[in-house]
Amino acid sequence: MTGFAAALTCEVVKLRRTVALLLAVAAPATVFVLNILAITAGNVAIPNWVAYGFRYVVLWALFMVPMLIATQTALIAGLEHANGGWKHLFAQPVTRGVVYTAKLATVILLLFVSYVVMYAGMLLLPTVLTSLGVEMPPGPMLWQDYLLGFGKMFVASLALVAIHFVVAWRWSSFAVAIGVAIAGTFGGLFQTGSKYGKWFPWQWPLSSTNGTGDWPETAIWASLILAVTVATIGGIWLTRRDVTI
Amino acid sequence: MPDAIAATHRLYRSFGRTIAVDNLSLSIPVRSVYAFLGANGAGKTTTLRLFLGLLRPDSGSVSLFGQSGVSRAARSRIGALIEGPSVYPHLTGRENLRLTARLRRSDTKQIALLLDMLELTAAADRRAGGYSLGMKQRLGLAAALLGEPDLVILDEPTNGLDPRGIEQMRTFIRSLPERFGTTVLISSHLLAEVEQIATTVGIIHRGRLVFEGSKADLHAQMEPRLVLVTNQPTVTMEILRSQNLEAHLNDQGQIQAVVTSAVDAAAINRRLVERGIDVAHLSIVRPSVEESFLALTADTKTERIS
Ligand SMILES: Nc1ncnc2c1ncn2[C@@H]1O[C@H](COP(=O)(O)OP(=O)(O)OP(=O)(O)O)[C@@H](O)[C@H]1O
Ligand SMILES: [Mg+2]
Repeated sequence: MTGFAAALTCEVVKLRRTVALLLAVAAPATVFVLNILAITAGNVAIPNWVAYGFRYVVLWALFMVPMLIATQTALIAGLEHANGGWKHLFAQPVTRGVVYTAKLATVILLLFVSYVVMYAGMLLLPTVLTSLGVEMPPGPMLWQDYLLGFGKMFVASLALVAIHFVVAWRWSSFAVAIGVAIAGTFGGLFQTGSKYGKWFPWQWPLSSTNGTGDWPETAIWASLILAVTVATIGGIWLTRRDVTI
Repeated sequence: MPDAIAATHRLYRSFGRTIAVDNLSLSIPVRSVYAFLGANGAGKTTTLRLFLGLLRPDSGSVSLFGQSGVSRAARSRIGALIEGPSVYPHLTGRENLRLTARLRRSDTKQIALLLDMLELTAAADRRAGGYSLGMKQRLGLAAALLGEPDLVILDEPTNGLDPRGIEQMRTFIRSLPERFGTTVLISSHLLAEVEQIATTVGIIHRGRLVFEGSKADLHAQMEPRLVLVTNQPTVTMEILRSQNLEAHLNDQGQIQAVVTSAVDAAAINRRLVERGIDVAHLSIVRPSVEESFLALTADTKTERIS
Protein backbone atom coordinates (compact mmCIF):
# COMPACT_ATOMS: atom_id res chain seq x y z
CA MET A 1 0.00 0.00 0.00
CA THR A 2 2.63 2.53 -1.01
CA GLY A 3 1.40 6.05 -0.74
CA PHE A 4 -1.76 5.12 1.14
CA ALA A 5 -1.12 7.65 3.90
CA ALA A 6 -0.57 10.40 1.32
CA ALA A 7 -3.69 9.41 -0.59
CA LEU A 8 -5.80 9.29 2.58
CA THR A 9 -4.54 12.69 3.71
CA CYS A 10 -5.40 14.08 0.28
CA GLU A 11 -8.93 12.73 0.49
CA VAL A 12 -9.49 14.21 3.94
CA VAL A 13 -7.97 17.58 2.98
CA LYS A 14 -10.17 17.64 -0.12
CA LEU A 15 -13.23 17.70 2.12
CA ARG A 16 -12.29 21.14 3.46
CA ARG A 17 -15.14 23.60 2.92
CA THR A 18 -17.44 20.88 1.66
CA VAL A 19 -20.60 19.89 3.53
CA ALA A 20 -19.27 16.40 4.29
CA LEU A 21 -18.36 17.04 7.91
CA LEU A 22 -21.43 19.19 8.45
CA LEU A 23 -23.60 16.35 7.14
CA ALA A 24 -21.81 13.85 9.33
CA VAL A 25 -22.87 15.85 12.39
CA ALA A 26 -26.20 17.19 11.12
CA ALA A 27 -27.71 13.78 10.38
CA PRO A 28 -27.44 12.46 13.96
CA ALA A 29 -28.30 15.92 15.31
CA THR A 30 -31.53 15.79 13.31
CA VAL A 31 -32.37 12.45 14.89
CA PHE A 32 -31.74 14.02 18.30
CA VAL A 33 -34.08 16.96 17.64
CA LEU A 34 -36.78 14.81 16.04
CA ASN A 35 -36.77 12.58 19.09
CA ILE A 36 -37.28 15.53 21.41
CA LEU A 37 -40.15 16.78 19.28
CA ALA A 38 -41.79 13.38 18.94
CA ILE A 39 -41.53 12.52 22.63
CA THR A 40 -42.63 15.88 24.02
CA ALA A 41 -45.34 16.61 21.49
CA GLY A 42 -46.74 13.10 21.46
CA ASN A 43 -46.69 12.70 25.24
CA VAL A 44 -44.95 9.40 24.63
CA ALA A 45 -44.29 7.31 27.70
CA ILE A 46 -40.93 5.57 27.91
CA PRO A 47 -41.49 2.49 30.06
CA ASN A 48 -37.88 1.32 30.29
CA TRP A 49 -34.37 1.89 28.99
CA VAL A 50 -34.59 -0.83 26.34
CA ALA A 51 -37.62 0.88 24.85
CA TYR A 52 -35.76 4.19 24.96
CA GLY A 53 -32.88 2.61 23.03
CA PHE A 54 -35.14 1.32 20.28
CA ARG A 55 -37.02 4.60 19.98
CA TYR A 56 -33.84 6.52 19.61
CA VAL A 57 -32.29 4.45 16.84
CA VAL A 58 -35.17 3.27 14.65
CA LEU A 59 -35.35 6.38 12.48
CA TRP A 60 -31.58 6.47 12.26
CA ALA A 61 -31.18 2.84 11.28
CA LEU A 62 -33.96 2.74 8.71
CA PHE A 63 -33.74 6.14 7.01
CA MET A 64 -30.83 8.26 8.04
CA VAL A 65 -28.07 5.71 7.58
CA PRO A 66 -28.85 4.85 3.94
CA MET A 67 -29.48 8.48 3.00
CA LEU A 68 -26.35 9.65 4.75
CA ILE A 69 -24.21 6.97 3.12
CA ALA A 70 -25.68 7.75 -0.31
CA THR A 71 -24.99 11.45 0.14
CA GLN A 72 -21.46 11.11 1.48
CA THR A 73 -20.34 8.62 -1.17
CA ALA A 74 -21.89 10.76 -3.92
CA LEU A 75 -20.15 13.82 -2.52
CA ILE A 76 -16.73 12.21 -2.37
CA ALA A 77 -16.90 10.66 -5.85
CA GLY A 78 -18.63 13.80 -7.15
CA LEU A 79 -15.58 15.93 -6.33
CA GLU A 80 -13.73 13.99 -9.04
CA HIS A 81 -16.62 13.53 -11.47
CA ALA A 82 -17.40 17.24 -11.50
CA ASN A 83 -13.89 18.66 -11.77
CA GLY A 84 -12.03 16.37 -14.12
CA GLY A 85 -10.39 14.88 -11.07
CA TRP A 86 -10.03 11.30 -12.23
CA LYS A 87 -7.66 11.97 -15.12
CA HIS A 88 -5.47 14.12 -12.91
CA LEU A 89 -5.54 11.74 -9.95
CA PHE A 90 -4.75 8.65 -12.01
CA ALA A 91 -1.94 10.40 -13.86
CA GLN A 92 -0.14 10.78 -10.53
CA PRO A 93 2.30 8.21 -9.18
CA VAL A 94 -0.26 6.41 -7.02
CA THR A 95 -1.98 3.20 -7.99
CA ARG A 96 -5.71 3.32 -8.57
CA GLY A 97 -6.23 0.68 -5.89
CA VAL A 98 -4.66 2.99 -3.32
CA VAL A 99 -6.93 5.87 -4.36
CA TYR A 100 -9.93 3.56 -4.22
CA THR A 101 -9.07 2.31 -0.74
CA ALA A 102 -8.31 5.80 0.54
CA LYS A 103 -11.66 7.12 -0.65
CA LEU A 104 -13.49 4.16 0.84
CA ALA A 105 -11.68 4.68 4.14
CA THR A 106 -12.72 8.33 4.09
CA VAL A 107 -16.38 7.41 3.72
CA ILE A 108 -16.12 4.90 6.57
CA LEU A 109 -14.38 7.50 8.71
CA LEU A 110 -17.15 10.02 8.09
CA LEU A 111 -19.79 7.45 8.95
CA PHE A 112 -17.90 6.63 12.11
CA VAL A 113 -18.01 10.29 13.15
CA SER A 114 -21.78 10.25 12.65
CA TYR A 115 -22.13 7.17 14.82
CA VAL A 116 -20.08 8.77 17.58
CA VAL A 117 -22.34 11.83 17.49
CA MET A 118 -25.38 9.53 17.53
CA TYR A 119 -24.10 7.80 20.64
CA ALA A 120 -23.32 11.09 22.38
CA GLY A 121 -26.82 12.31 21.58
CA MET A 122 -28.35 9.15 22.93
CA LEU A 123 -26.59 9.64 26.26
CA LEU A 124 -27.50 13.32 26.37
CA LEU A 125 -31.17 13.10 25.46
CA PRO A 126 -32.54 11.81 28.82
CA THR A 127 -31.08 14.85 30.60
CA VAL A 128 -32.72 17.17 28.07
CA LEU A 129 -36.04 15.32 28.32
CA THR A 130 -36.02 15.40 32.10
CA SER A 131 -35.45 19.14 32.05
CA LEU A 132 -38.47 19.40 29.73
CA GLY A 133 -40.60 17.57 32.27
CA VAL A 134 -40.68 14.18 30.57
CA GLU A 135 -40.58 11.30 32.98
CA MET A 136 -37.69 8.97 32.29
CA PRO A 137 -37.58 5.32 33.34
CA PRO A 138 -36.10 4.47 36.71
CA GLY A 139 -32.67 2.95 37.14
CA PRO A 140 -29.40 3.63 35.34
CA MET A 141 -29.23 4.10 31.56
CA LEU A 142 -27.94 1.08 29.61
CA TRP A 143 -24.99 3.00 28.16
CA GLN A 144 -22.86 -0.12 27.69
CA ASP A 145 -25.63 -1.89 25.78
CA TYR A 146 -26.13 1.19 23.65
CA LEU A 147 -22.44 1.36 22.87
CA LEU A 148 -22.33 -2.28 21.87
CA GLY A 149 -25.51 -1.81 19.85
CA PHE A 150 -24.00 1.09 17.87
CA GLY A 151 -20.86 -0.95 17.30
CA LYS A 152 -22.92 -3.74 15.77
CA MET A 153 -25.04 -1.34 13.79
CA PHE A 154 -21.96 0.35 12.41
CA VAL A 155 -20.64 -2.96 11.10
CA ALA A 156 -24.12 -3.81 9.81
CA SER A 157 -24.04 -0.53 7.82
CA LEU A 158 -20.84 -1.38 5.97
CA ALA A 159 -22.60 -3.37 3.25
CA LEU A 160 -24.52 -0.22 2.33
CA VAL A 161 -21.28 1.75 2.35
CA ALA A 162 -19.72 -0.64 -0.17
CA ILE A 163 -22.81 -0.71 -2.40
CA HIS A 164 -23.22 3.05 -2.45
CA PHE A 165 -19.52 3.65 -2.84
CA VAL A 166 -19.38 1.55 -6.00
CA VAL A 167 -22.56 3.15 -7.36
CA ALA A 168 -21.27 6.68 -6.72
CA TRP A 169 -17.91 5.95 -8.33
CA ARG A 170 -19.48 4.44 -11.41
CA TRP A 171 -22.36 6.88 -11.96
CA SER A 172 -21.64 10.57 -11.64
CA SER A 173 -25.29 11.50 -11.24
CA PHE A 174 -26.44 12.39 -7.75
CA ALA A 175 -29.91 11.22 -8.77
CA VAL A 176 -28.64 7.67 -9.22
CA ALA A 177 -27.13 7.67 -5.72
CA ILE A 178 -30.31 8.96 -4.10
CA GLY A 179 -32.47 6.74 -6.30
CA VAL A 180 -30.66 3.64 -5.11
CA ALA A 181 -30.96 4.77 -1.49
CA ILE A 182 -34.69 5.41 -1.81
CA ALA A 183 -35.31 2.17 -3.65
CA GLY A 184 -33.32 0.31 -1.01
CA THR A 185 -34.96 1.98 1.96
CA PHE A 186 -38.54 1.61 0.75
CA GLY A 187 -37.86 -1.76 -0.75
CA GLY A 188 -36.68 -2.74 2.72
CA LEU A 189 -39.86 -1.44 4.32
CA PHE A 190 -42.10 -3.46 2.02
CA GLN A 191 -40.03 -6.53 2.59
CA THR A 192 -40.19 -6.51 6.38
CA GLY A 193 -43.08 -8.93 6.41
CA SER A 194 -41.71 -11.42 3.92
CA LYS A 195 -39.30 -14.12 4.87
CA TYR A 196 -36.72 -12.81 2.41
CA GLY A 197 -36.94 -9.29 3.81
CA LYS A 198 -34.28 -9.89 6.36
CA TRP A 199 -31.78 -10.62 3.60
CA PHE A 200 -32.21 -7.11 2.31
CA PRO A 201 -29.04 -5.13 3.24
CA TRP A 202 -31.07 -1.98 3.94
CA GLN A 203 -32.68 -3.88 6.84
CA TRP A 204 -29.43 -4.90 8.44
CA PRO A 205 -28.60 -1.78 10.49
CA LEU A 206 -31.87 -2.16 12.36
CA SER A 207 -31.93 -5.93 12.59
CA SER A 208 -28.38 -5.93 13.96
CA THR A 209 -29.81 -4.65 17.25
CA ASN A 210 -33.48 -5.40 16.95
CA GLY A 211 -33.67 -8.77 15.21
CA THR A 212 -34.95 -11.89 16.82
CA GLY A 213 -33.11 -15.13 17.53
CA ASP A 214 -29.63 -15.30 16.09
CA TRP A 215 -30.56 -12.84 13.37
CA PRO A 216 -28.70 -9.83 14.81
CA GLU A 217 -25.51 -11.84 14.65
CA THR A 218 -26.27 -13.00 11.11
CA ALA A 219 -27.01 -9.46 9.92
CA ILE A 220 -23.64 -8.27 11.16
CA TRP A 221 -21.73 -11.08 9.50
CA ALA A 222 -23.74 -10.81 6.32
CA SER A 223 -22.99 -7.10 6.16
CA LEU A 224 -19.30 -7.64 6.71
CA ILE A 225 -19.05 -10.36 4.07
CA LEU A 226 -21.13 -8.46 1.54
CA ALA A 227 -19.15 -5.28 2.19
CA VAL A 228 -15.82 -6.99 1.56
CA THR A 229 -17.15 -8.78 -1.52
CA VAL A 230 -18.78 -5.74 -3.11
CA ALA A 231 -15.84 -3.47 -2.31
CA THR A 232 -13.35 -5.95 -3.75
CA ILE A 233 -15.24 -6.81 -6.91
CA GLY A 234 -16.22 -3.17 -7.35
CA GLY A 235 -12.62 -2.13 -6.88
CA ILE A 236 -11.32 -4.57 -9.45
CA TRP A 237 -14.00 -3.50 -11.89
CA LEU A 238 -13.74 0.26 -11.37
CA THR A 239 -9.97 0.59 -11.27
CA ARG A 240 -9.65 -1.19 -14.60
CA ARG A 241 -12.03 1.04 -16.43
CA ASP A 242 -10.84 3.54 -19.01
CA VAL A 243 -10.48 7.05 -17.72
CA THR A 244 -12.19 9.09 -20.39
CA ILE A 245 -13.48 12.10 -18.49
CA MET B 1 15.84 4.99 -30.75
CA PRO B 2 18.07 5.36 -27.71
CA ASP B 3 17.51 9.10 -27.47
CA ALA B 4 13.71 8.86 -27.40
CA ILE B 5 12.35 9.66 -23.95
CA ALA B 6 8.93 8.37 -24.91
CA ALA B 7 7.64 6.33 -27.81
CA THR B 8 4.70 4.33 -29.03
CA HIS B 9 4.97 1.17 -31.08
CA ARG B 10 2.17 0.29 -33.45
CA LEU B 11 -0.29 1.65 -30.96
CA TYR B 12 -3.93 0.89 -31.67
CA ARG B 13 -7.03 1.89 -29.77
CA SER B 14 -10.68 1.96 -30.80
CA PHE B 15 -13.93 2.95 -29.11
CA GLY B 16 -16.60 0.65 -30.44
CA ARG B 17 -16.45 1.21 -34.17
CA THR B 18 -14.42 4.39 -33.97
CA ILE B 19 -10.73 3.83 -34.52
CA ALA B 20 -9.16 6.61 -32.50
CA VAL B 21 -5.49 5.62 -32.76
CA ASP B 22 -4.40 3.46 -35.66
CA ASN B 23 -1.03 1.73 -35.75
CA LEU B 24 0.72 4.77 -34.37
CA SER B 25 4.49 4.77 -33.85
CA LEU B 26 5.76 7.99 -32.34
CA SER B 27 9.18 8.81 -31.07
CA ILE B 28 9.70 11.82 -28.82
CA PRO B 29 13.37 12.89 -28.68
CA VAL B 30 14.76 13.74 -25.30
CA ARG B 31 14.73 17.48 -24.45
CA SER B 32 12.62 18.29 -27.48
CA VAL B 33 9.47 20.31 -27.73
CA TYR B 34 7.37 17.87 -29.71
CA ALA B 35 4.32 19.41 -31.35
CA PHE B 36 1.64 16.77 -31.76
CA LEU B 37 -0.72 18.12 -34.36
CA GLY B 38 -4.02 17.01 -35.75
CA ALA B 39 -7.52 18.21 -36.51
CA ASN B 40 -10.44 17.77 -34.11
CA GLY B 41 -11.01 14.10 -33.48
CA ALA B 42 -7.68 13.06 -35.00
CA GLY B 43 -6.76 11.06 -31.91
CA LYS B 44 -4.43 13.41 -30.01
CA THR B 45 -6.08 13.22 -26.62
CA THR B 46 -6.53 9.47 -26.93
CA THR B 47 -2.80 9.07 -27.62
CA LEU B 48 -1.84 11.28 -24.69
CA ARG B 49 -4.17 9.34 -22.39
CA LEU B 50 -2.52 6.14 -23.58
CA PHE B 51 0.87 7.64 -22.65
CA LEU B 52 -0.38 8.14 -19.09
CA GLY B 53 -2.05 4.77 -18.75
CA LEU B 54 -5.47 6.40 -18.40
CA LEU B 55 -6.50 4.24 -21.35
CA ARG B 56 -5.20 0.83 -22.30
CA PRO B 57 -4.23 0.09 -25.88
CA ASP B 58 -6.07 -2.62 -27.81
CA SER B 59 -2.69 -3.55 -29.23
CA GLY B 60 0.75 -2.05 -29.52
CA SER B 61 2.59 -0.44 -26.66
CA VAL B 62 3.89 2.70 -25.07
CA SER B 63 7.41 2.98 -23.77
CA LEU B 64 8.61 5.62 -21.34
CA PHE B 65 12.17 6.31 -20.27
CA GLY B 66 13.31 3.22 -22.08
CA GLN B 67 10.86 0.87 -20.39
CA SER B 68 7.78 -0.68 -21.85
CA GLY B 69 4.42 0.15 -20.28
CA VAL B 70 3.24 2.87 -17.94
CA SER B 71 4.51 2.17 -14.44
CA ARG B 72 4.01 4.16 -11.28
CA ALA B 73 7.70 5.03 -11.41
CA ALA B 74 7.24 6.37 -14.94
CA ARG B 75 4.25 8.47 -13.87
CA SER B 76 6.34 10.04 -11.13
CA ARG B 77 8.54 11.47 -13.89
CA ILE B 78 5.66 12.78 -16.00
CA GLY B 79 3.58 15.88 -15.44
CA ALA B 80 0.40 16.18 -17.44
CA LEU B 81 -2.41 18.53 -18.34
CA ILE B 82 -5.02 16.63 -20.34
CA GLU B 83 -8.12 18.24 -21.85
CA GLY B 84 -8.30 21.20 -19.57
CA PRO B 85 -7.15 21.68 -15.99
CA SER B 86 -8.46 19.54 -13.13
CA VAL B 87 -9.17 22.02 -10.38
CA TYR B 88 -11.10 21.55 -7.15
CA PRO B 89 -13.10 24.78 -7.04
CA HIS B 90 -13.65 24.80 -3.27
CA LEU B 91 -9.92 24.76 -2.59
CA THR B 92 -7.51 27.63 -3.14
CA GLY B 93 -4.92 27.52 -5.88
CA ARG B 94 -2.23 26.80 -3.32
CA GLU B 95 -4.27 24.02 -1.69
CA ASN B 96 -4.87 22.46 -5.09
CA LEU B 97 -1.14 22.37 -5.73
CA ARG B 98 -0.46 20.97 -2.26
CA LEU B 99 -2.68 18.00 -2.99
CA THR B 100 -0.80 17.17 -6.15
CA ALA B 101 2.56 17.79 -4.47
CA ARG B 102 1.65 15.31 -1.75
CA LEU B 103 0.80 12.61 -4.27
CA ARG B 104 3.95 13.33 -6.25
CA ARG B 105 6.06 13.53 -3.09
CA SER B 106 7.52 16.72 -4.37
CA ASP B 107 9.04 19.45 -2.29
CA THR B 108 6.36 21.92 -1.17
CA LYS B 109 8.87 24.74 -1.65
CA GLN B 110 8.28 24.36 -5.37
CA ILE B 111 4.70 25.49 -4.96
CA ALA B 112 5.59 29.09 -4.18
CA LEU B 113 8.12 29.05 -6.99
CA LEU B 114 5.65 27.76 -9.56
CA LEU B 115 2.91 30.11 -8.43
CA ASP B 116 5.39 32.91 -8.94
CA MET B 117 6.56 31.73 -12.35
CA LEU B 118 2.98 31.45 -13.58
CA GLU B 119 1.93 34.78 -12.06
CA LEU B 120 -0.56 33.24 -9.68
CA THR B 121 0.93 34.37 -6.38
CA ALA B 122 -1.58 37.15 -5.81
CA ALA B 123 -4.50 34.77 -6.36
CA ALA B 124 -2.93 31.77 -4.66
CA ASP B 125 -5.06 31.95 -1.53
CA ARG B 126 -8.34 32.56 -3.27
CA ARG B 127 -10.67 29.70 -4.11
CA ALA B 128 -9.82 28.32 -7.52
CA GLY B 129 -13.51 28.18 -8.45
CA GLY B 130 -13.34 31.94 -8.87
CA TYR B 131 -10.36 31.84 -11.22
CA SER B 132 -10.68 32.87 -14.84
CA LEU B 133 -10.20 30.20 -17.47
CA GLY B 134 -6.67 31.43 -18.12
CA MET B 135 -5.81 31.28 -14.43
CA LYS B 136 -7.18 27.76 -14.13
CA GLN B 137 -5.14 26.77 -17.16
CA ARG B 138 -2.00 28.19 -15.56
CA LEU B 139 -2.81 26.42 -12.31
CA GLY B 140 -3.14 23.19 -14.28
CA LEU B 141 0.24 23.85 -15.86
CA ALA B 142 1.76 24.49 -12.42
CA ALA B 143 0.37 21.16 -11.23
CA ALA B 144 1.91 19.48 -14.27
CA LEU B 145 5.31 20.95 -13.42
CA LEU B 146 5.37 19.90 -9.76
CA GLY B 147 8.12 17.51 -8.85
CA GLU B 148 10.37 18.56 -11.74
CA PRO B 149 9.08 16.01 -14.24
CA ASP B 150 11.36 14.87 -17.05
CA LEU B 151 8.44 14.76 -19.45
CA VAL B 152 5.56 17.22 -19.53
CA ILE B 153 2.49 16.26 -21.55
CA LEU B 154 0.22 19.18 -22.42
CA ASP B 155 -3.01 18.67 -24.31
CA GLU B 156 -3.98 21.91 -26.03
CA PRO B 157 -2.75 24.01 -23.09
CA THR B 158 -3.62 27.29 -24.78
CA ASN B 159 -7.31 26.45 -25.11
CA GLY B 160 -9.38 29.38 -24.01
CA LEU B 161 -6.46 31.74 -23.56
CA ASP B 162 -6.37 35.24 -25.00
CA PRO B 163 -3.57 36.17 -27.43
CA ARG B 164 -1.41 37.58 -24.64
CA GLY B 165 -2.01 34.46 -22.56
CA ILE B 166 -1.11 32.24 -25.52
CA GLU B 167 2.11 34.15 -26.08
CA GLN B 168 3.06 33.92 -22.39
CA MET B 169 2.27 30.23 -22.26
CA ARG B 170 4.31 29.68 -25.40
CA THR B 171 7.33 31.55 -24.08
CA PHE B 172 7.10 29.64 -20.85
CA ILE B 173 6.86 26.23 -22.52
CA ARG B 174 9.69 27.03 -24.88
CA SER B 175 11.95 27.80 -21.91
CA LEU B 176 11.38 24.48 -20.17
CA PRO B 177 13.97 22.30 -21.96
CA GLU B 178 16.75 24.81 -21.30
CA ARG B 179 15.76 25.70 -17.77
CA PHE B 180 14.94 22.27 -16.41
CA GLY B 181 15.98 19.79 -19.07
CA THR B 182 12.33 18.94 -19.57
CA THR B 183 10.95 17.27 -22.66
CA VAL B 184 7.61 18.72 -23.72
CA LEU B 185 4.94 16.88 -25.67
CA ILE B 186 2.31 19.41 -26.62
CA SER B 187 -0.78 18.84 -28.73
CA SER B 188 -2.56 21.41 -30.80
CA HIS B 189 -4.87 21.57 -33.77
CA LEU B 190 -3.14 24.68 -35.02
CA LEU B 191 0.33 24.41 -36.42
CA ALA B 192 0.79 28.18 -36.29
CA GLU B 193 0.29 28.09 -32.56
CA VAL B 194 3.22 25.81 -31.82
CA GLU B 195 5.35 26.34 -34.91
CA GLN B 196 7.75 28.75 -33.25
CA ILE B 197 8.38 26.63 -30.19
CA ALA B 198 8.44 23.14 -31.68
CA THR B 199 11.68 21.36 -32.39
CA THR B 200 9.93 18.24 -33.69
CA VAL B 201 6.57 17.89 -35.34
CA GLY B 202 4.29 14.86 -35.41
CA ILE B 203 1.08 15.03 -37.41
CA ILE B 204 -1.78 12.66 -36.80
CA HIS B 205 -4.73 12.31 -39.12
CA ARG B 206 -7.60 9.96 -38.41
CA GLY B 207 -5.51 8.11 -35.88
CA ARG B 208 -2.56 7.63 -38.21
CA LEU B 209 0.80 9.29 -38.17
CA VAL B 210 1.16 11.15 -41.46
CA PHE B 211 4.36 12.94 -40.65
CA GLU B 212 7.09 12.97 -38.04
CA GLY B 213 10.27 14.99 -38.26
CA SER B 214 11.70 18.47 -37.99
CA LYS B 215 9.99 21.56 -39.33
CA ALA B 216 12.51 21.63 -42.17
CA ASP B 217 11.59 18.05 -43.08
CA LEU B 218 7.95 19.00 -43.13
CA HIS B 219 8.67 21.86 -45.46
CA ALA B 220 10.79 19.70 -47.72
CA GLN B 221 7.98 17.17 -48.03
CA MET B 222 5.97 19.50 -50.16
CA GLU B 223 6.66 19.89 -53.87
CA PRO B 224 7.09 23.45 -55.05
CA ARG B 225 4.57 24.99 -57.44
CA LEU B 226 5.02 27.08 -60.51
CA VAL B 227 2.71 30.11 -60.51
CA LEU B 228 2.09 31.95 -63.78
CA VAL B 229 -0.07 34.83 -64.96
CA THR B 230 -0.24 35.42 -68.73
CA ASN B 231 -2.52 37.12 -71.24
CA GLN B 232 -3.38 33.80 -72.93
CA PRO B 233 -4.11 31.26 -70.21
CA THR B 234 -5.45 28.53 -72.51
CA VAL B 235 -2.44 28.49 -74.80
CA THR B 236 -0.13 28.69 -71.80
CA MET B 237 -1.74 25.63 -70.28
CA GLU B 238 -1.35 23.73 -73.53
CA ILE B 239 2.33 24.59 -73.66
CA LEU B 240 2.84 23.52 -70.06
CA ARG B 241 1.02 20.27 -70.67
CA SER B 242 3.21 19.59 -73.66
CA GLN B 243 6.11 19.84 -71.19
CA ASN B 244 4.45 17.14 -69.04
CA LEU B 245 3.50 19.67 -66.37
CA GLU B 246 0.02 19.34 -64.99
CA ALA B 247 -1.42 22.84 -64.96
CA HIS B 248 -4.59 24.31 -63.48
CA LEU B 249 -6.19 27.70 -63.81
CA ASN B 250 -7.54 29.10 -60.55
CA ASP B 251 -10.17 31.77 -59.82
CA GLN B 252 -7.64 34.56 -59.68
CA GLY B 253 -6.47 33.85 -63.21
CA GLN B 254 -3.30 32.20 -61.95
CA ILE B 255 -2.01 29.10 -63.59
CA GLN B 256 -0.47 26.70 -61.14
CA ALA B 257 1.56 23.62 -61.83
CA VAL B 258 3.30 21.17 -59.52
CA VAL B 259 6.96 21.07 -60.44
CA THR B 260 10.14 19.57 -59.08
CA SER B 261 12.80 21.73 -57.54
CA ALA B 262 14.94 21.18 -60.61
CA VAL B 263 12.52 22.84 -63.01
CA ASP B 264 14.00 25.60 -65.11
CA ALA B 265 11.72 28.63 -64.74
CA ALA B 266 13.76 30.69 -67.18
CA ALA B 267 13.38 28.05 -69.91
CA ILE B 268 9.62 28.01 -69.50
CA ASN B 269 9.49 31.79 -69.63
CA ARG B 270 11.58 31.82 -72.85
CA ARG B 271 9.29 29.29 -74.53
CA LEU B 272 6.18 31.31 -73.69
CA VAL B 273 7.68 34.55 -74.91
CA GLU B 274 8.79 32.87 -78.15
CA ARG B 275 5.16 31.97 -78.75
CA GLY B 276 4.19 35.61 -78.29
CA ILE B 277 2.63 35.28 -74.88
CA ASP B 278 2.96 38.15 -72.39
CA VAL B 279 4.10 36.79 -69.04
CA ALA B 280 2.94 39.13 -66.26
CA HIS B 281 4.08 36.92 -63.41
CA LEU B 282 6.18 33.80 -63.04
CA SER B 283 7.45 32.33 -59.79
CA ILE B 284 8.20 29.10 -58.02
CA VAL B 285 6.44 28.95 -54.69
CA ARG B 286 7.14 26.63 -51.81
CA PRO B 287 4.13 26.04 -49.60
CA SER B 288 4.33 27.40 -46.09
CA VAL B 289 4.55 24.98 -43.21
CA GLU B 290 0.93 25.74 -42.48
CA GLU B 291 -0.08 24.77 -46.01
CA SER B 292 1.95 21.58 -45.70
CA PHE B 293 0.10 20.78 -42.54
CA LEU B 294 -3.28 21.44 -44.09
CA ALA B 295 -2.37 19.33 -47.08
CA LEU B 296 -1.30 16.46 -44.85
CA THR B 297 -4.49 16.56 -42.89
CA ALA B 298 -6.79 17.01 -45.86
CA ASP B 299 -8.70 13.82 -46.44
CA THR B 300 -7.81 13.41 -50.11
CA LYS B 301 -4.08 13.57 -49.61
CA THR B 302 -3.63 10.84 -47.03
CA GLU B 303 -2.87 7.97 -49.37
CA ARG B 304 -0.14 9.90 -51.03
CA ILE B 305 1.77 10.47 -47.82
CA SER B 306 1.29 7.19 -46.03
N1 LIG C 1 -14.39 7.85 -24.61
C1 LIG C 1 -14.66 7.80 -25.90
N2 LIG C 1 -15.74 7.12 -26.35
C2 LIG C 1 -16.01 7.04 -27.65
N3 LIG C 1 -15.27 7.61 -28.60
C3 LIG C 1 -14.19 8.30 -28.23
C4 LIG C 1 -13.83 8.43 -26.87
N4 LIG C 1 -12.70 9.17 -26.79
C5 LIG C 1 -12.38 9.50 -28.05
N5 LIG C 1 -13.27 8.97 -28.92
C6 LIG C 1 -13.23 9.10 -30.39
O1 LIG C 1 -11.91 8.91 -30.83
C7 LIG C 1 -11.56 9.85 -31.82
C8 LIG C 1 -10.34 10.62 -31.39
O2 LIG C 1 -10.68 11.45 -30.31
P1 LIG C 1 -9.63 12.36 -29.56
O3 LIG C 1 -10.31 12.96 -28.38
O4 LIG C 1 -8.41 11.57 -29.29
O5 LIG C 1 -9.31 13.47 -30.64
P2 LIG C 1 -8.46 14.80 -30.52
O6 LIG C 1 -7.43 14.73 -31.57
O7 LIG C 1 -7.99 14.99 -29.13
O8 LIG C 1 -9.51 15.90 -30.91
P3 LIG C 1 -9.71 17.41 -30.37
O9 LIG C 1 -8.79 18.29 -31.15
O10 LIG C 1 -11.14 17.70 -30.72
O11 LIG C 1 -9.45 17.41 -28.91
C9 LIG C 1 -12.80 10.68 -32.06
O12 LIG C 1 -13.47 10.17 -33.17
C10 LIG C 1 -13.60 10.50 -30.81
O13 LIG C 1 -14.98 10.58 -31.11
MG1 LIG D 1 -8.36 16.44 -27.66
